[in-house]
Amino acid sequence: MVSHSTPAHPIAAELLDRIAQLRTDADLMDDYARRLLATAAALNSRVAAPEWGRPTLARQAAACRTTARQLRFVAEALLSQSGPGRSRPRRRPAAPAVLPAAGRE
Amino acid sequence: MRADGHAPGRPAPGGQDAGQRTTEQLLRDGAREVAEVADGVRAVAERTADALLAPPHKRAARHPRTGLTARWALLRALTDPRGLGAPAGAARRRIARLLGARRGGEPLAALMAVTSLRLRVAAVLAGHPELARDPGMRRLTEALGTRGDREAVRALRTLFRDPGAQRALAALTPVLDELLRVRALLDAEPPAPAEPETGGGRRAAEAVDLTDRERQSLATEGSLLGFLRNIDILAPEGRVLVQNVRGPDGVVRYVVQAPGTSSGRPRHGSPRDVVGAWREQLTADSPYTRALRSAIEEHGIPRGAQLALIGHGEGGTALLNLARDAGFCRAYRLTHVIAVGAPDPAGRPADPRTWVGHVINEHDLVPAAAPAAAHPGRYDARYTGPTRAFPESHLLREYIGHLRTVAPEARAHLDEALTPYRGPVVRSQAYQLKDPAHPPEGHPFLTLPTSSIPTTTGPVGVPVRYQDSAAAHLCFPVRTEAVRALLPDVPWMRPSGIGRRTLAVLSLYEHRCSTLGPYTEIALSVPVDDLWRPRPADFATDLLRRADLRRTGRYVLSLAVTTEEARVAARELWGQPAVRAAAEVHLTGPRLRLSAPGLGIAVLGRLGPGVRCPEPDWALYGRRGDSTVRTAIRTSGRPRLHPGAGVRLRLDTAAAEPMAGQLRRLGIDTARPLFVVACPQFMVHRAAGAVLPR
Repeated sequence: MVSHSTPAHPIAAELLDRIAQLRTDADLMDDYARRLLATAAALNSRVAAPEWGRPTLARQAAACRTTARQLRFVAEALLSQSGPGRSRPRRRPAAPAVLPAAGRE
Repeated sequence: MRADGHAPGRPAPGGQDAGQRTTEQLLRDGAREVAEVADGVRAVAERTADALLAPPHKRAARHPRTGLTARWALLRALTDPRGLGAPAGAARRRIARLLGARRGGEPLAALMAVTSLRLRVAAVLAGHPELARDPGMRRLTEALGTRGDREAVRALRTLFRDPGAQRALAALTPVLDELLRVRALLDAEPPAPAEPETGGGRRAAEAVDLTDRERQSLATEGSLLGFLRNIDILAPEGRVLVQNVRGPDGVVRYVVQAPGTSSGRPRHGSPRDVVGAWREQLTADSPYTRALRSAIEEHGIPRGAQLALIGHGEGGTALLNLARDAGFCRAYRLTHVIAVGAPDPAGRPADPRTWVGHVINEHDLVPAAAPAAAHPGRYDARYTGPTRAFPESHLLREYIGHLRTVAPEARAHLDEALTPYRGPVVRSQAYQLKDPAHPPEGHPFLTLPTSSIPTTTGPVGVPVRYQDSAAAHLCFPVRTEAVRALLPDVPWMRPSGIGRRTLAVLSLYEHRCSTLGPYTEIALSVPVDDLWRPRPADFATDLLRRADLRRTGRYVLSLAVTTEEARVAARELWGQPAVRAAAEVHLTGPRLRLSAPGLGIAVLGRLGPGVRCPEPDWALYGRRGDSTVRTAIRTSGRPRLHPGAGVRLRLDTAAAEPMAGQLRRLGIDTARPLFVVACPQFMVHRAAGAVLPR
């Protein structure tokens, strides 16, 4: 939950909606990454499952995490344009998609 | 049969089968999960594109650098190959118009949809390995392959845009949902027609007469199995039956019986989007549903009369759609709907009093493609049939047999529900459904008057029409004397050739869609002279004549087909010595491959560059008793003539008669073909055989 002190220049509702949607989408992308990794782990438990499944899903999970990070950056950038005194958004290093320890490639 | 209407099937034969089902289930669940994620990522990409394309906020005008930073970050999020990759669908077109060029790689949502499709295909093949031989499944697995996702996406785009692949893909019912999702995300859907496809107000059903044999075969008393047998009798020509039945209380009620569309057989009309037609059948106003409504109106059923609807496959789905039509349910009192092996459209009947019964074989992949949501007031009979193989598990005659042997309790329950309809049939009328919005399959080449000829496996419509086939004719130079020894011992049937040499033709066919269903055919034939007036070099000069005026023909020495229906048709219609054998052919690419282990024959090779050549329309000769049977063949395609050097025939040492023995006696087992006439896609019709006086 984000709380803001009342700024000298009120942020337009439309801009706030857009920022909130971007953050929601970023959370969604993180959730998608988690679900893909869970699917990869489930497939890993079966010998007959295709070999390409796990690395493919891990790559796509990493892409979801990257997108989540980028969307949060956009949200911060939009928040910074809401008025003076707001610093430029800082780009945080990406957190890699971490596969379960067993059988990590 | 349990009280909730479920009929557990026979127990699984031990741990191996249970393990396979678990892997299949795991892959299927994984495919569904990834598909949901793909849909979610697509939606995120759409919203991100909306944010990018939205008008800049007022404050950005005062802080242009910050506004640019946000927009640049949005663009990067949309097109980063390590992230969303590229926008998909409508967002892609909008961004492309804005930027004037495509940026980034393939959309992440599309890559995920491809992964879902690959998992779904793996699940289907884990449970039904026989589907690996299906032509559509082969093309799909070749496109998906073992390469990376991006290569698979490019291969799939090519596949979706290949008109020749559409029918083959449309037969892949178990994976059609994923296919359609991937196709939409890859922007590979067929273009929308310039004008809406409507029927123009014309009727979509026409009353047709039944043959005497069909009329004698129809049930005369109302019962579940009787109605299902009626559907099976009329299904080959796609006709719907409406029967007036006098119930036990003396009231006349009406039963509508609708067939499904079998994989590998022609559809009613050829929709523009063959693959998308599967999803369209689940909509409330599908063409089939409209045609059924028209047939019911044509029959003159009085308003308020009691009506039961019974259907198989797509016919059952169309009847379930009709039951959801509030206007239809106001016009008639719909008492029962029974769907056998039918994909279930969402929603309940408009009349809450309507009793719905659904019969599903667990091995049938067609209803599994659109599973029904359980709800009260509905009877679901699920059982495990003895045959796991698909599409056999979907055949109506299999369901009829299973309702007698495997699930008799379900049959008894459904018959009890149909008590008001269990009485003498007082009138039967068949209706030919039409799709005025689309031309018939194969129009105009295959738009022909047809008749029905009885055979031991049931009536066969002639001419037999092949809507989608591939062929390769391997032509070997052989000695005329060797051919003469294999022909019937009659003086007027002589091999046609030049000097002491003639040709032997080994024809490989893959019939993907025909009125006999899909099957593979291998035929060994030799050209023969005109039976009455042979002339030198007639076989060569006939190339300059119209196909129906050609004097020479090819005598079929031996024939192998993969289905019983085709074997009976070849023997009884055309007098050809057909045997049934397993065979698999690949004829659609530059590589040829035939594998027929039961015959001991294999063909392997690569076609070199080819040139267009005339259609190889020739009459085929067979024998029936002491008479010769002549069958006229007409083809429509783009055959090409290739050198035969790259193709080799291989015979196993223990290869059996008759075909392998004939190949050896002709000296073909050690020879390469002189040339190959190949056609990866064509249509053909074969008339009924004409018995000649010789």
